[in-house]
This record gives sequence, structure tokens and C-alpha cells, in this order.
Amino acid sequence: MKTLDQPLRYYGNLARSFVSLKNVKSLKMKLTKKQCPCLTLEIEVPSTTSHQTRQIVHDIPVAVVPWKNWPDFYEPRVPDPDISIELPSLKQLRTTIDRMRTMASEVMVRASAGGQLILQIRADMAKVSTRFKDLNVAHFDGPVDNSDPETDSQGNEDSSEIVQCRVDAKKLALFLNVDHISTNTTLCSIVHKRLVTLCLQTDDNVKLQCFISGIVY
Amino acid sequence: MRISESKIPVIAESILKQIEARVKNTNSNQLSDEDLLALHSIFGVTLQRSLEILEKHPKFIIYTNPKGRTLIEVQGDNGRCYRVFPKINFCPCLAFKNLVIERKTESAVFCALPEGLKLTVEEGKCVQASAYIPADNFTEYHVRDDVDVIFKISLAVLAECLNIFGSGEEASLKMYYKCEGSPLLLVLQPQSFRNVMTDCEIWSQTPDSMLELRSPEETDVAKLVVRAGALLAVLGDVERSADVLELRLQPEPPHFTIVTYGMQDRSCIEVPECSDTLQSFSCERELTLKYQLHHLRLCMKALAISNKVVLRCSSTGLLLLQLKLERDDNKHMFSEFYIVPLLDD
Repeated sequence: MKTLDQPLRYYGNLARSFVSLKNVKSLKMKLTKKQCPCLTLEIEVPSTTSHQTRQIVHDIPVAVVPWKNWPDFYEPRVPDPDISIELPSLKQLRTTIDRMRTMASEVMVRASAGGQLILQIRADMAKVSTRFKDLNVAHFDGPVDNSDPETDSQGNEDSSEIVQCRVDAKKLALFLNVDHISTNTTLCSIVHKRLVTLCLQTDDNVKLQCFISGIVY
Repeated sequence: MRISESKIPVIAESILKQIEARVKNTNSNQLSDEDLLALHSIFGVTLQRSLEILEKHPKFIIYTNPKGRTLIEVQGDNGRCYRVFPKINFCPCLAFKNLVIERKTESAVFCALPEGLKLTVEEGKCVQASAYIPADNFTEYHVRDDVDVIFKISLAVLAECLNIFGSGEEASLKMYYKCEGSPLLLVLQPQSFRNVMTDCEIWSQTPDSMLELRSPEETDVAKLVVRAGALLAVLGDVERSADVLELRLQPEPPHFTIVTYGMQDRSCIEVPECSDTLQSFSCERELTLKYQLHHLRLCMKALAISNKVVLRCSSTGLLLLQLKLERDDNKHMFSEFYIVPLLDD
């Protein structure tokens, strides 16, 4: 079996194959060359009718990325976050963001050192803010410069303790679809106005990390 | 948006010219009632708004350049100045953006009366639906009775905000409306999660005048009380290709007949007075009325959550459906649908 050290493209078809994985005994991934390079999944599924197992083979055509393009795919070097806060349950966030998405395309994510997370949207005809409080702040890096006129200050909050970033609501909603994978807490790290990083660590030692760049006018 | 050869601009121009000629010929610079009616039939609500602007800010500046192009500057309500060109259908204001460019017609008129809330929507000029939420549905309900608390609001945005925690989640709601022109403020908190709160500010607009479909002198020619589930089943079973529903009401049997014409068939449902679908029936004389099936289908969601519906037909053929929306406790909400009949060609 060839070792899988070649980065691949075409994840959509991969996701569709994985749908058939409910009770799986084993899964073997191979890079093969059929008429074109393929990712072959050999899935062993226990049969409900007999004691034998059934084997399902999926061949997914892939494009192998040449070695000289590999630097394009490295994890980006990002600046240190200004705040890292634990998100509330992803299911809650997901329902809220799904409703907000119908009204506006961008959402402002604000986190305060006091453990508050605020999601704000401004639509044509409305302004909606959802506030989550009593969240665990893993790390807060000093006072933040919030003196520019763009900041929408709420009277009773200390604006030097608030880190915010405006992101595309659709991208945020895409990440929140993982709410059924794990109930572990997701860590949200924000670089003021520039980047939101979401990191979910599951029990099986799988780490799902998502970088969403901020929208600046 | 299909841009077709519309005759309306030509008609509008000729009517405006006629009115201008007539006013010049008379001594008083007044618009007669006929003139206003003619203008209203073309321009609709826009006429009312433009006359309001003229009353509030009677002076507007017209610039003409040597090439003959004209620019008109109009003062808006909030001190803003809008510049428009005659003959060019465009205005930089928010109302134009909402009504014309984005066609956001999903707005409702929200009226807070001392007895409860009333929300009204219209479709074309043919259907008017209202939902009534009596004050006893709320744990606290305070409305000023010295002013009319009425405004226009986007129904889609209101519905999304009310469901912000998901439609399955029980949440507490507080609504505030300070004064005319201020936004409607909603504060929602879910029952199961105490550390979350959402506040929404929804901008309000001046309400359009609602259609007065029913005049006070009109009486009901027929009144029926029908089991909601049965009517819902009929509307759901009707073939998709049918677009007209005919209601026949007569004092003799069969009392109540529903006829629909599909592409290849004609289906006819006769409901005698003794059937348990019809809980009550009264009809003065024979009536045959046709309605757009699409309009009747608009009531289906409300029919699904009620037990019975009262249908009233007036002498003009206007159909009124009154529904009581059942809730678990003894508190109720009501909805009404007025549907205009199709006129025979």
C-alpha cells in the first residue's frame, strides 16, 4: 500500500462516501492508479443478515498535488490571538447563526475578558445581538485598542476588554455543522479585527481547526 | 423582473396633462376629487406619500441647465435632501430601495390596541389577513390609549427574531416600542439556558393605509361554520393545476358545494347541512362565487391549527374566514382572512 503522503483535492466526494459509514468494522485508505489516480476506500461492514462481513469499495478520483505546490497547503502562520474563549454549546450557536444568516451576510463576533460572547448582525431593517455570558476565558492578551469610530460601544462595557472581528456568517455556520461530532468545548481565538480561529478537540485525539479571516471595510 | 411594454407611463402622462389643463382653466388651484381618484388608481399609495411631502415641505428647488435637463431637490422628513430627475424612475431614499428595488413587500402593519395586538398583511389588492393576539395571552400588557400605536414592520425579520433560539425552544419574550419612529425592541431569553440573551431592534416604518374591503352596511348573505380539518383536506386534495374554486351556497339541498376545475377533470364536493363537517349553515339566497385557489391556500397554515372556521359571504361576494387558533391553555388567538371574489368576465 502506498503511504498517503501526497496531498489530494476533491473532498466533496469523500464526504459522500463517508455517509455510508454507520457501523463499520474497519476502513482502509489507499492511493491507487485506476484509469486516473484514485483514493480507494475499502470498508468492511458487518452484515445484519449473516455473520459474514460485507466489503464496500469506493474509488474516488483525485488530483495529486505536485510537490512544488505543497507550501500552498501548509497551516498558515497566524499572529497570536488577543483572546481565547470557550464557546457555549455548538448546537445553540448553530440555531442562532442559522437564523441570523437569513437576515444578514456578515456577523460581528465580540468576546470580552469578562467571559461574554456577543454575536451581532446588522440587517437592512434590524439589528440583532445574542449575548452568551459566564464563559471560560482561557487567555486574554492585555488591553485592546477600541478607540476607532467603527466600534459600536455598549455603555456599560469597558471597551478595552472587548476583542471583536467581523466574519462571513456562512463560513461560521459551516464550522458549526460539526456540533454532532463531539460535545467537547470549542475554543475560539480572536485576533482583534483580523482573524477568528475555532478549534475543536474530540475525545479520539482528532483536532478540527478552522481559520476564518475577518472582513475589514 | 420582466420589463414589458407597459402602457401605464403613457396613461399617467396623459392624465397628469389633463389635470394640469383643467386646473389652469379654473380659478382655484384645487385638485378635484375625481382628479385625486384618477391619480390614486394609477399611483396608489405613492400618491398619498407625495402629497404628504408636498404639504410638509411645499418648497422644492428645481435646477435647469442650458441643455434643458432638470434636477429637482426635495426636502425629506429627517432633514435629508433628495435629488431626483423627472422622467427617470429613481430616488436615493430608503423607501425606494425597499419598495421598488428590493420589492420587500413582506411587511405587516402592527397595531397595538388596548385589547391586544393586531398584525395585518395584504396580498395584491385581493387578500387581507389579520392575526389578533388578545392581551390576556401576555403576562404583562401595557399600551398607551391616548395615541394610535400603529406601524409597519418587516414580517420576515420579526418571525426570524422570534425564532432566534430555534422553533423548538421555549423562550421568554419582552417587547417594547417607545414612540412613533422608534424601532420595535425584542428581548428574548430561552427557558433552558440561563446564560444567553438576544436583543433585537427592528426598524419601523409609517404604515400604508389598509384596504377597507368591507363597508359597514354590508350584511352577510350566508354564514357557515365548517370543521377546519375538512376544509384543509379539501384544499390539500385539489389538483395542482386547478386555479379557480367555485363555492355554491343555496338554502335548498345540496346546501354547500365546492367545485374545482382541473386540467382534465371537474371535481365537485357536496356538503349537505346535516353532515358533521358543517356545524352550522344559514343562507338567504342562492350564491355562486369564484375565488382564486391560490388565495384560499394562503389560509391553510391557519386552518391546520384551528378546530373550526366561520365562513361569511357578503352581498358583494367578499369571503371572510374567521379562525380561532387553539392553544393548550384557555387563551386563544384569532385570525381573519378577507378574500375578494373573481368577477365574471
